[in-house]
Amino acid sequence: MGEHIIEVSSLVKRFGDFIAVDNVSFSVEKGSLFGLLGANGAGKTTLIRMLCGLMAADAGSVSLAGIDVLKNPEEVKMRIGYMSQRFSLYRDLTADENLEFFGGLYGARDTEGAAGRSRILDSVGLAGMENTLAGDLPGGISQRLALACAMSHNPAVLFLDEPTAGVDPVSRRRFWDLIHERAEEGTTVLVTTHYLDEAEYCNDIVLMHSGRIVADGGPDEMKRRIISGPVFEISGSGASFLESVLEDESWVIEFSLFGDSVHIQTEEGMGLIDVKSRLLTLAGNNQDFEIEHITPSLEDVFLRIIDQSESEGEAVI
Amino acid sequence: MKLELRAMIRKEFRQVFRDPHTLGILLLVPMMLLVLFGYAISMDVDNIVVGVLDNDKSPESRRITELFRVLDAFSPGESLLSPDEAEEALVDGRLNAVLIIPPEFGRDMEAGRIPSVQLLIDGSNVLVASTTQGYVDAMFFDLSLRLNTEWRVPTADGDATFTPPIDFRPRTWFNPELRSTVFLIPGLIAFIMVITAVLSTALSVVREKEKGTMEMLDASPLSSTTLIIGKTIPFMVISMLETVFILIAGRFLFGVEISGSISLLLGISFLFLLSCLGIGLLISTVVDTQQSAFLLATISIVLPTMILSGFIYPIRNMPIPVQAVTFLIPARYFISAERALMIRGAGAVSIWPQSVVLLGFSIVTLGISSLRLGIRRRKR
Repeated sequence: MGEHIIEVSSLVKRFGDFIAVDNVSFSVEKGSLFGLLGANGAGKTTLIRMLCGLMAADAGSVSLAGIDVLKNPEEVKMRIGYMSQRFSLYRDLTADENLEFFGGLYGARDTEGAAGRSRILDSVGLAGMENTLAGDLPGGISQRLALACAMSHNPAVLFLDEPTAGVDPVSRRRFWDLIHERAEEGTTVLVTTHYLDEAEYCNDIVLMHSGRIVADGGPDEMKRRIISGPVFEISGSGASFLESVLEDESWVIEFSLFGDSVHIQTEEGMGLIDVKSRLLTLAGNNQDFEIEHITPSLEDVFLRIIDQSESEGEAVI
Repeated sequence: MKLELRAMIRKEFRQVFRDPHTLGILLLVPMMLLVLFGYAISMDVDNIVVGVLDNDKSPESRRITELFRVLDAFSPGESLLSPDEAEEALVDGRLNAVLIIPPEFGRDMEAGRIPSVQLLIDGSNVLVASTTQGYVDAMFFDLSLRLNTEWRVPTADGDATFTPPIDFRPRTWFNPELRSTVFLIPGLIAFIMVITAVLSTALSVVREKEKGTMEMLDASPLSSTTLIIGKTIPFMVISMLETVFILIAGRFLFGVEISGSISLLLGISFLFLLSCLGIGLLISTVVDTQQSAFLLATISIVLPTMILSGFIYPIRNMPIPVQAVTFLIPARYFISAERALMIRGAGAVSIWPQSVVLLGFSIVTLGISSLRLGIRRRKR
């Protein structure tokens, strides 16, 4: 266990009667890639804004690199980089001018000269686009420019709020490569996303639901802990009929709909052949389906957790 | 200079020169207003069209008719034939006034009786009507004086006595020809400054909120004071340049000379601009969209400056409660100081009260904006 650079404890934020962040505690290890997951409206943005000193909290504490963020929000700002949900750039300034401005705001030396800026822009794949207006850059590229602007001053912690929202898969992949590079160089990266496949890239994740943390841990560790038995995917036209009769089967621990297919988790030790024969019996006239043994994804894990937390009204952990 | 302030100022200048809307407010609006107020809107009344209904047709009556032809202020109107025609011309608006000379005018004059004439004035435009009456009054006063000396009417007891009237010689100082451009240019400078400084500052801050870039500024170590200074300096520089431009245009296009000290004029302009920028920032801390910023600035500052600052309408003619409101309008102080400096050639002593008030306005508006920006950052 390394040193913790961020410590959040019992953080609360209310908007009137609505509790956006409800008694949240977690810590982030230095140099790690930390994912904050949850659906839209789960409280991720509110939480990240409190961590950046952009919003006051109603209760609790946040410490970042030893600084009490809620008491001294200005002190922390020099040490962090922040990329907001809209990856806000000045659309009427060029890529180079944006970088120069944001670098200037932080007093960054690297962005003072044109050569330094061009090196940074190169490193995020914007070579040759220095003089293009940010408003004219395609989504994936302006997102990388926003990243360059957020980290021009080499912050200790980089906060990225939904950095890949609305960006094509190739650009998303490229963006995550860049984030990985930063993390490997020792920058702590805290990223929010609602793409669960992206969470697999993170060292640690917390899952938020309705303002509370309902699960945390490493992606693989979470899968092992939450999903104990094997998981099978049933697809084909018979899948939807099967879904309607699975409820009464005691050997099925959990099942959930994934588009046209159904994922089921069975009791431990059950094999593909065993499961298939049971299903064939159940299916009756609806024999047209295929079954496959799969590795559970984080989506399986989270659907499971959220299901449980909603029925119990309590955190699972 | 601090790096972040330099970055801020450089960015503002770049944005101003790249944004057609801001550039339009900063360049086109002043030029349009200058042309409008300088050429189109003249409050000098000339070309008064006066018709004459001469029922006498004597040499004496023709002498009066002739006067309207030679005086500058009047355009030769038509000769009218009947009272009906005179009425029709007034109703139509073809004539501003009709002079009616009765049939006995020449005879009365010969006989030593007091001759009379009638002037019918179209009162639908008060400014034109009162000016017309003034001109015609003066004309007849002058005419009577000359007639008196020429005719020397004998009195009943046989003596040809004549009491000369007081030789009244009005002389207008500072603006001898009473040209309205001389009166309007100082107000126009104030008005243009209000539009450019208040509007462009308010819009530029609100645009940051609208586009989400304000959040990036909030997340950075930029202090709210640096933010305000960074937003103020570029618009201050541009507005000062504009002031100089209007002064030059006023001098060469409209012949409005600055009789007082130019440095004092620029000094008080600076104070006024500072309060305008403060108001612009204050507006930007209240609203969140460019549209509402525009509306709020127009209603709270631009229109009141036009109407209540003494730019066009004299404050002393306003009802007392309205006069009280004018004290809240910075342009009121600036315009009065400007007129003192530009037209009357006054010195520093006569404009210090206005300077103090404007400085106060600046400190209050900039101070409140800075506080509000700081509070907004902490409490969301």
